[in-house]
Amino acid sequence: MVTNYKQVKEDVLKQYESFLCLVKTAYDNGITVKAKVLNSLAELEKNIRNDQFCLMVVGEAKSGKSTFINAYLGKEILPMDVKQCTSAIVEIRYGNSFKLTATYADDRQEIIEDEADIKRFLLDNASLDDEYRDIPVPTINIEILMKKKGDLPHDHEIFDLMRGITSENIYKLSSDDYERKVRKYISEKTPCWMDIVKKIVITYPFDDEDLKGIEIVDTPGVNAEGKVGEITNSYINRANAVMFLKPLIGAALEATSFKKFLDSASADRNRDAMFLILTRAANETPENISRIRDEAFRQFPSINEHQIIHLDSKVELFYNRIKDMSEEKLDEFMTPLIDEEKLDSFLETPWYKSKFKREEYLKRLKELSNFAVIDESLNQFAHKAHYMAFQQFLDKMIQELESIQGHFGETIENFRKKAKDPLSLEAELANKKDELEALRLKINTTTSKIASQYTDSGGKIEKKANEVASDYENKISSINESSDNSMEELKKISFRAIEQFQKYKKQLEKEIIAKCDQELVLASGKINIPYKTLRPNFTADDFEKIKKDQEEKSYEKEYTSGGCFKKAQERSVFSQSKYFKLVRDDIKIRLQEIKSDFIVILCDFVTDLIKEYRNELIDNTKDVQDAYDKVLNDKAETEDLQKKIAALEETYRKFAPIIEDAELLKRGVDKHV
Amino acid sequence: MYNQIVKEKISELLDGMIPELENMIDNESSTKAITRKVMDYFSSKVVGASRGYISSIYTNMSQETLKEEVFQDVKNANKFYALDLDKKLIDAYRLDITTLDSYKNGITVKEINKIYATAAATAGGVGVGGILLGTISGAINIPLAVIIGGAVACGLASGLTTYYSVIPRVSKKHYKEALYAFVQDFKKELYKWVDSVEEYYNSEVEKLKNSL
Repeated sequence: MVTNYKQVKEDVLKQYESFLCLVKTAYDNGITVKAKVLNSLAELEKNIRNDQFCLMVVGEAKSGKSTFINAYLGKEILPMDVKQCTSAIVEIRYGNSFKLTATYADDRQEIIEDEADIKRFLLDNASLDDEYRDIPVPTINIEILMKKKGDLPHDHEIFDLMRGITSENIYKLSSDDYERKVRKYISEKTPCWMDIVKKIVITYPFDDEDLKGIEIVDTPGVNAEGKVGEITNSYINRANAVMFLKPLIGAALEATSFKKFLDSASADRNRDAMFLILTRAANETPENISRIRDEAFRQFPSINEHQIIHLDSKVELFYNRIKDMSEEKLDEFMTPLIDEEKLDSFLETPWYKSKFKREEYLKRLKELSNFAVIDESLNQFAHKAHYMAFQQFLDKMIQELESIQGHFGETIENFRKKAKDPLSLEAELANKKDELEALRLKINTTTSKIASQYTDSGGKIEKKANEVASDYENKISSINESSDNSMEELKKISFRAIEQFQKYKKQLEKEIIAKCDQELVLASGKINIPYKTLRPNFTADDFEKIKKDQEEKSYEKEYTSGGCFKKAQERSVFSQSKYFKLVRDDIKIRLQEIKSDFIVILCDFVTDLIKEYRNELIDNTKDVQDAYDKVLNDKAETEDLQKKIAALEETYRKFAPIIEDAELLKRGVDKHV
Repeated sequence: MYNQIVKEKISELLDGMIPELENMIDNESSTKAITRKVMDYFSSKVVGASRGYISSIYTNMSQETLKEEVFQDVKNANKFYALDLDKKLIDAYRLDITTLDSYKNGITVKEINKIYATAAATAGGVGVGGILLGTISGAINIPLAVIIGGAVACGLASGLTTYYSVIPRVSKKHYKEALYAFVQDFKKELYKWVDSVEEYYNSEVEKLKNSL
């Protein structure tokens, strides 16, 4: 599994232990660390320890999603080899016991705990009546039955549906028969719409420690047009990795559904985390696989090379089954399978090539399944969010260590001076206090100037808002409203505009703090006080405090969650283009509100951030002044002073190697981000 | 004083909106729809711009204040900054579109009438600006957009000085006339708003000087 990531995580947590030891020693020597910094680090550490990552699996019906998931988990939880997939989302995660919780279309829940019952439930809900195996039941359930909630659909809704599912008539029924069957299904199932299962959560006590942090989401499957239901859309946005499964069949790569899926608004919002997984690779020659992969790179240039992976889940499943068998047991197991011709050829051939040797056979199967590449890719990619959390954690810790180290250094220096000439020290420190007051004024003045550059009428924030709004207006004006994809395009462009504002906000945060820090470096250099003891150390709580008031006032949530598209979403995905103009005009008017909202939000953010910076600085200068007073008021005689200095120096020496280790670790982490 | 420059910017902003608002009136057929669009557009433009005005007023007034002799003392100057006057001004004088259920669901003409009559009565029967300042002071809890919509809709009566009755069906010409009158009136009230910001700033600085 994801061993490299695990190692890094352990190292980060060990670093934190060292940090806590030093903090305690600092405290014993009269140097305190701010409680809010300690609390913030403790919170970050908790999140790192309990990290979860969400792996989402999508693909057309019968693309092998359940087989892949079972192979990945090393445990056959989901039923395979069934005729159709369900309309339900299935979430699988670690739990203390094997348990299934089903949510029905009317939101009632059922809990099942017996293993046999769970498997039966999954089979019942994953397979279909033979009568309806030739119509796309999951699509009909999601688009009609669950939306209409017991009401029969209008003719235009059936018309839209039929238009949308034409390409799923894979059994080639006549269009009249196809429609008749769909209508029959709808009228039969409408009175019991509430019994459709929409979500299943399965917990399982996996042995593998690494699986404790993983949540896998199996989805109802995209249709041939690449469209997914709204339930799936809401998961895509928060998933750390989205794997689209496509079976390798035949000479050419037919990936229309993947292409359309990639073009959709929800996939676009998580475009960095998309994987294309080509399944059933064991059936293909290496040359064919290589050619199809090259074809995939050509068709999907936006997908990173490492994100197009071929594999074979059946081989991996078989590997999982036999890996713990001894040489003799394996031989006993294989012989009847071969004699009775029950073994797939791609499993039989390596057995012969390995000359019936267990080690060699397992090695060949592992190469054939190619699942090791999935681990590597997830390690490199899907943990990106976690590596960013490591980065943030290490940054905060290093900053605090440097600040405490600075305090120690100054205190040692002052004690040395006191031992030599206490009167001279008193005069010097009185002078330094005045200089600190002057430094505060300098920072107040320059940060005021910085704020006004951004928040004044005609300032940088207004200019940026105008830029983004103008760009947005141009883009939505150029959408072809009669195209099938018009709504998707509109959503994509709208979300991208919001993203631009949000990105700018993050950029602002860094920019403002960097500018303030720069001024502080200059000012503190002139008075010979280590900048690192004065520099504000912002915590997540500081930013939460700043954001809290703003969130309630703005429409930001409505736009980022897609609430503004709600009306359009209630329609069938196949008729959304009709409502495009309605939604577009509404959004255009709201554009002015978005712009206004963001000007106000960003200006308030800058004002509040600068206020926090100043407050932090005042606190830090007070800490420095208190440290001076402690030295001045210390009644120790010369001999005791020397002992004190020696003890402080011993502790001081511990900082450098720990800071160095943390920085080295951080450089390693930076490579993954 | 810089605040004169802010007033000029206000005039430019409001006059600049008229062509766009006329466009909306020409393209729409229902009074309710026009009023709704005018409310949204007008209020969001004013809210966005007003945030910058407060900042600019503070920047310029504080630069002048810090030139005064009393603030040449470092400690006194730091005390001035500790007032956080910029934040206080924003909190006291921000123009906001606060959420209100009826606003989100679409307010009816009858409701506008009722709210506006209440507001006017509370504010002592003055024009829309009085109501504007009334909401800022917290005396009346009505979002700006409703006030604007109310003023526009209410101003549709003949004799545009009457704000308290609404005629649901009017000609576009009449609507435009009401709009022009409203914009000029609103301009004056925003000038009064700028003056209030300045007065508040001066009173806070005076308080500080007296305590030094």
